[in-house]
Amino acid sequence: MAVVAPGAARAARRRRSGPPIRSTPFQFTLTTVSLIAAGFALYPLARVFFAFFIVDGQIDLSAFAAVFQVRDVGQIIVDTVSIVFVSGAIALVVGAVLAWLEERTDASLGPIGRALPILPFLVPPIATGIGWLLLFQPTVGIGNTFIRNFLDALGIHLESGPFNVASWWGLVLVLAFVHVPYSYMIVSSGLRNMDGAMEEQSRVSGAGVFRTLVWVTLPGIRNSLGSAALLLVFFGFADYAIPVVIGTAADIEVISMRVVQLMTASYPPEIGAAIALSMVGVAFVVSFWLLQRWLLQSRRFFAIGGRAQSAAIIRLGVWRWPARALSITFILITSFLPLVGLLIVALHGYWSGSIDPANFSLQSFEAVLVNDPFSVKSIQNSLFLAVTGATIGVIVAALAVQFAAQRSDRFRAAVDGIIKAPATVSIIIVTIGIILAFSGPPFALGGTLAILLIGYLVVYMPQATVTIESSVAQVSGELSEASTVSGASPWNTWTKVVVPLILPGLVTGWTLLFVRMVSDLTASAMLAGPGTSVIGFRILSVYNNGSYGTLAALCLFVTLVTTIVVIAMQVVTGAMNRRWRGGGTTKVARTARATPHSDHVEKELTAR
Amino acid sequence: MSSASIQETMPVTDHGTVGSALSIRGLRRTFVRRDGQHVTAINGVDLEVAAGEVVVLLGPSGCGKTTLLRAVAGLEVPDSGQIALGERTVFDADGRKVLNVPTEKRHLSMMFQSYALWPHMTVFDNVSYPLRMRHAPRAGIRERVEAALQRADIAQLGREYPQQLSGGQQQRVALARAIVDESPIILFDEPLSNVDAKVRTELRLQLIALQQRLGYAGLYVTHDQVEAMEVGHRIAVMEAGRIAQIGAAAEIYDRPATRYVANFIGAVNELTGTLASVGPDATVDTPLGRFAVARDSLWEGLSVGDEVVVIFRPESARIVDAATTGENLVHGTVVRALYAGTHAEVFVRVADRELRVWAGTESSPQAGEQVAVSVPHERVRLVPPEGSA
Repeated sequence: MAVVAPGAARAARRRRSGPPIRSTPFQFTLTTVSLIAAGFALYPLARVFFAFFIVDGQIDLSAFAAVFQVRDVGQIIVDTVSIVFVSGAIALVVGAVLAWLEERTDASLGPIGRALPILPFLVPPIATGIGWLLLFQPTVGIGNTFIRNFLDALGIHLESGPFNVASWWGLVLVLAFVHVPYSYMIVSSGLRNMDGAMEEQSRVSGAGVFRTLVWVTLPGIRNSLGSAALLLVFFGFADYAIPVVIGTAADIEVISMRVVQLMTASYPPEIGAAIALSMVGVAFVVSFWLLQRWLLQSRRFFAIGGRAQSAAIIRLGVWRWPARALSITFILITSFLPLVGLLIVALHGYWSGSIDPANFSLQSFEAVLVNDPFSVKSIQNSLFLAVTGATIGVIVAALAVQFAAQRSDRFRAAVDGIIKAPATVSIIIVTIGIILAFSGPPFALGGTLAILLIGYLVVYMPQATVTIESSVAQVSGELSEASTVSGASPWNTWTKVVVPLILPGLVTGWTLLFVRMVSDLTASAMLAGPGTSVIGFRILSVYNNGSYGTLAALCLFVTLVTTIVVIAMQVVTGAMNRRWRGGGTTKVARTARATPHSDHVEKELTAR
Repeated sequence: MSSASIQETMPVTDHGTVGSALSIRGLRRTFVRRDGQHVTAINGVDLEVAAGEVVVLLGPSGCGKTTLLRAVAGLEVPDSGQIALGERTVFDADGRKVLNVPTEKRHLSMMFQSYALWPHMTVFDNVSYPLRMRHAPRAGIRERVEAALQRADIAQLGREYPQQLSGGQQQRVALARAIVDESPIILFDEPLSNVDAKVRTELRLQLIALQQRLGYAGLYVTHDQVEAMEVGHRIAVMEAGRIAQIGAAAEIYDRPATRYVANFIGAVNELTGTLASVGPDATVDTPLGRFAVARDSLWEGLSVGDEVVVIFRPESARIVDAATTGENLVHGTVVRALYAGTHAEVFVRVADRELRVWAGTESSPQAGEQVAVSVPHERVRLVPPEGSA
């Protein structure tokens, strides 16, 4: 949905000083809900802050010393930093190359390329990680056995391998694969927003494809590359799902793994050490952010114009099909191969190197869905929490966005900023805050589903808020004003004009929250307990001491649920948009102008 | 500036109805920009719109016309002043407690620049919305909506969604929505600025006919002077948050009160000079010689020796033979003559300045020709120089 009227920008600017806000029941609800949401976001963060930085009422960094009590801290930091930066560099290069091929050359991938950005929502990272392990563990990895059998036929005999995912390089590559969609998304939107005329001018001036790429295209998207790099570093330090699977198998420990361990392996949890260690990650992210800002600000090459023209397509000639084949292979391998591994193990019911279709059965799925009470309970809990959480989250986010959009004063800006603040801190730290804030007295919610619900909402709601915000921004202010002038109360204007128009954004936001909550691992690892098990928590405990058949079946089940929900969402929002756009899209463009989605979260979810 | 005050008497419109549809007194609105600077968008405006009368607010962007319109709608809150719709005061910041009737309770209609049609509602639902929101009797709604669609010439489009319509059709839907509720006053925020020239002319004429038939009062914002002159019974030319001059189109055009108004509507030749005599024949000494001027363009307090500006329109002047002598005659050389269809735009260099004169296309002189420019004294007017008021 994107209806923007020509006067929208002007109206939006004017709304700052718009009519006074009257005290109606609707207004009271908006204010109250927004303040409560801000309270839930701020309190846990404040608890972490006070627990760590404030000693006897003074700002004090001595708590940082706790980091030295962490066993093998040096090794952990070295491993984490090297893995984050090497995997990030790989993901950045691969994502940028794929984006350039898709946006600028005739080797574009069609529907597969368009699906790439939504893949992380279809397949949870934990499923990908376990899938890779099942395939390329050196001795019993299914893929490895398959390749060894093939090599045997050629007369080459290997005892193990040839690949070993349970290694430093394995961890780095799998992390990179999982993160490629994010860098792809950011770089391709950078390419789309860059005026193609600049590249055409370079070609006209005599530069070839390669020199144009180096001297014009890359400098032109340096901001996108910078944001992609920052996001990759942020995700790298925050990621828990891939390290906990592959790192554990490879006997490599990273910060996120140890922090979760400090919080869960002993009672009482070693909160001080956990916060101190996570702050090391924060320090790296912040330093990288400062470095990136300094690099990007010091030399400004391009002022990118308003409405970008699309660039001429570069013909790759003989390289077209190799390039296309390579990228399609890459996407298929990184997204579907792990699922094949999961499927084979789930059908076998156990993990051995061999593939024997004669032994295939659905017993593992039966166990997960019917026979294993722990898994069944976890699935029930997760579905309940995800549906409840996504519904509450979308309603609260919609009200909070409306509240913040009413006018721009400092109070509203502050409330809005606080609600979004948890998104800027890693999930691990926010979750520690949730434990500090709500598990003990006076709330005493430790070991309840309520603390999981609160945790999920605080951690993931900012994403829904941003999605809904971009929907609201696309609704021209005059559409609401026309309703008010027609005699509609604020409540009627909201329910009859604003909400219907942002409905696709609300559906997208709900899906985003549902997917994140149902496949959450990090927050669940710390907030759930044996009595309040959820899918992520169950996957971790099965991984540590259970059957691989059950594990694979659980992973596939989550993947199936998220895939169905995401595809259903695409169908629903697509139908909504078609209905309003009608047949006359060109007329829409001229009058009630349709603009491309500006928000990246929406881009993640909607195919172009 | 004396001309900034409102007309004392209410004009009688085509319908002969007298009475106020909108009354604005002493309205003021100041914005504080992000950098802390104060911007006065409306700087003490008084305005009366009679029942059945359309007043156009004309001015360049940033003159405060849209802010004024939005203040009437209640979408903008003034700092001081009063606004009354008919007998009912809807805004009063001068009393002890600020009275501010919310927009939805002011019972007016508004046509937005972007049309502001709700894309998720059919044309019928868009048009019926004001009736539904104001709890009009359910039974009459369909009939009233159909009548409004009929009047806007889109009777057959009720089931369509706005995006399926052309720009002109969308504009008609917005019009139908504005008239459906028979509000006594309709606010127009540059409603014709988004359609192409041909549709614009067509809609403008239809808007005028509709207004005559339905007799609503209107406050109409535009920056297009032709539109302003055709649509409005009176035009209020706005300058920096004030009304520089208000009056019928002919009055504004023929007897502009300031250089600003003269320049904003139509082209004008200007000569700065000093008042030489104020007798029966008022004259001004300019660098191009002495000009006799219209006696009624003098204002109170003006005395011989004062600095004034002489203005006349290109179409008031004539190109005559260089040998001619007489009143208000200046000699010069034609710099260029541009063919403009209905007339020729002739630029005549006189001393160090260029005068613009409209000549007939058949008698248009050639570049380089020596000519004289003549302008009858009753078409030459005086306005105060910039900066004095």
